Amino acid sequence: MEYKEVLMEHLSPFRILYFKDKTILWNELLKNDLVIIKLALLSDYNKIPPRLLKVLSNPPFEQFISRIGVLNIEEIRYKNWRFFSILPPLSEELKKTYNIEKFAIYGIKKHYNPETRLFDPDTPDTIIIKPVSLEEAYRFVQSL
Amino acid sequence: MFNLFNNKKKRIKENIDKLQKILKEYKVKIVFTDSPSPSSLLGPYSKSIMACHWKLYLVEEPPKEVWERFLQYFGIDSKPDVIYVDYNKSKYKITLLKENEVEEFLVNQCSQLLHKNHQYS
Repeated sequence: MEYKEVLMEHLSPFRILYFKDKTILWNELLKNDLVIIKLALLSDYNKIPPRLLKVLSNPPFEQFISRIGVLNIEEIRYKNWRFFSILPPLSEELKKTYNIEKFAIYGIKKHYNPETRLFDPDTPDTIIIKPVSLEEAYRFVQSL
Repeated sequence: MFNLFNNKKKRIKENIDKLQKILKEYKVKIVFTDSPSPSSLLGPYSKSIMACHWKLYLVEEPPKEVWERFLQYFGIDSKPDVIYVDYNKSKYKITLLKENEVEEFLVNQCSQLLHKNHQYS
């Protein structure tokens, strides 16, 4: 029996890589199995009050990482952008399920309750994973 | 009072019997003492069997790649058969166990956890 104490920064991905050069960044993204190029928090309702809209404009990093699991994620940073590479075997499973080539957008859709004027805490969020074509991803990275 | 005490003892024994049965039936590799650690670490591979009156989360063998990253993430160089993870105040307290130590260790932990809990009686 061995005993060990490890201090952990809460919810930091398995590995974080930094890139300063856009060409190297793109080549690195191409090497990965499945890359999430954008995270989004969405709602199923149009007329959201402004104070909740503010919440929606924050990328849901924590929810994303805690759902996919720290050990299944590698983060790739460029300037102040964060890309997430999903590691195997989860990457393979998600690619099959959502018909993804390599790049995708990951959305968490919250359910708005017009009566309480809040996101409904009792209705579970819906996960939306949308495939992004190689060309679209390339254009997006070039625009950064 | 005496009756209550006996009742508690009986329930602890029942929980320990159940735990031992699960350990025989499933190939448990990681044990967590509390949420949210299992899912925030393992994601979809965190499906666990609850034991010891919801105090222990027993996770069956994850895919090989995930297990290897687990060892790397926590800086574990040896090759444990089972890992016991206690998350407390942003610190992971990890116990690495060999196959033949697992049952005795978990039975001890479970009985300690149940004795500590005052509401449990």
